[in-house]
Amino acid sequence: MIEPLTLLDLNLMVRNQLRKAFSDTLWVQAEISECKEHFSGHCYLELIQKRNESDTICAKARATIWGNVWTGLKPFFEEQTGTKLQAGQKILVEVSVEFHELYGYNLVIRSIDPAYTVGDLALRRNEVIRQLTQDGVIDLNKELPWPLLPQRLAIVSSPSAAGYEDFMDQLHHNDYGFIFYTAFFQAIMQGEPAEPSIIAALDLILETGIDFDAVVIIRGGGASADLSCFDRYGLCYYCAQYPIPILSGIGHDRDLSVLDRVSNVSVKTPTAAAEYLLSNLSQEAYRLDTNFNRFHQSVKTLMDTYKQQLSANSDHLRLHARERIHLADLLIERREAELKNQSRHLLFQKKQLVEMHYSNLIHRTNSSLEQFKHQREMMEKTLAGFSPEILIKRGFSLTLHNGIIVKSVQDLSNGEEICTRLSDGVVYSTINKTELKND
Amino acid sequence: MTDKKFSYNAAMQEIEQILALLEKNSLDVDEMSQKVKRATELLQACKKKLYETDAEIQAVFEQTKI
Repeated sequence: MIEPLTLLDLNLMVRNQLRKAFSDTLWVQAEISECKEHFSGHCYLELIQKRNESDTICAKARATIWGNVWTGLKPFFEEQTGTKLQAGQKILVEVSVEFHELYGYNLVIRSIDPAYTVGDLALRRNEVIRQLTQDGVIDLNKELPWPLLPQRLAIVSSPSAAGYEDFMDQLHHNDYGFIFYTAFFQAIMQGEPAEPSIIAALDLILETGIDFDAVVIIRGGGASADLSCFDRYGLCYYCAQYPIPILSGIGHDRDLSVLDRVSNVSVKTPTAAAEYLLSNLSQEAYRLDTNFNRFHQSVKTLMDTYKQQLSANSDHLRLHARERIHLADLLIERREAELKNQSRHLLFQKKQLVEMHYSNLIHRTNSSLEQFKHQREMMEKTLAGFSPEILIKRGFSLTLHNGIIVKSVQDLSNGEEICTRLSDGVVYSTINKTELKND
Repeated sequence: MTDKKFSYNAAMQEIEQILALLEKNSLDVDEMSQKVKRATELLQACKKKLYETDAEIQAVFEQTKI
């Protein structure tokens, strides 16, 4: 029986065989399942391969990036990809296959092709966007009307970020004197914890019950920081459905993140976010000023028009009034003349009437007088028939006693002389006897 | 919040409607004087919103500082 090998012998044999078989470096594509940066400066990874269309791991290998390589590789990778080397990433790496008798199989990474990771990240971003589109949420926040005056702002950021300070300074000390009300909601803005932290901050904003005009998500800082958190499905799904319009300024120079895609408005930096908000207000200020000017101008024009109208009207009124007064004067004169004529006529008529009555009166008086005269004459004639002379002539006689007409026998005594007048003379007689009539 | 009652957008729309009426000169003097008064108030309110701090809103925001 052949002497059995020691484990060390075997491992050394494997190591030699492998060194022979893999004398050159190789480019390998794999996914990182673990990534740890050791304080010693080395970076230890676990690489895996999954079966297509499933999460089943079909290959696994440890990998190491030695400190001397890692110092240069790390910033290069982060700058190119915008993300840290981390679990879940797909990488294309140049490796040498090594086997250590104590530590076993290991891949030593010499170099990384960041373009591969960038491509993979883009694919993943596209996948998230496709999923959000399929969910029907991708444009929900975008479709919210962006406010005319975004003045009441909820700021989601990291307080230590330089971008935040700049943003606040720019906003609150603007040259126009615009007023902004800001409430700060702290969140971690990079790496793995960013997603739950930002979601928690956004939740808190809603819990305040304040009627915010917009939410501003800003992140300032180095370009090498890890921004892949802003491509996370969970965060983007939440933000897309957020009921307040989101303005994102998360600082990036490369492709848009998915958060930028779902945000109502997306700008590159916090400074640009502040500028955007200020430009919103300055546009409105300009509109307001324009309206002020239009208003003053139109009021002035109208007032001038009204003044002119008023003046024209008052002239017209004066002219019209003068005309009316003149007409009234004429009318009065005419009426006066008419009145004069009529009264003259009336007076004449009355006079005639009076004259007529007067002549009537005279006429009537005269005829009455004539009548009276006639009656008197008639009466005179009648009376003439009764005169003593006529009566005596007719045979009557007058007896006088001492010159007085005797009317009774008792006035006479026997022996007395009486005188009897006849028509042709007087008879003197002496009374012998008197007798009284016995009736 | 006090300024919830005041809608800047609605105010601007009203101002622009009044302006259109004024510029068309389709108002009589009484209407004009009313509209001018209204537009002046609205313009002042809009300006106030842009340039003057509302203490009440400010107070609400101060409370939310974390």
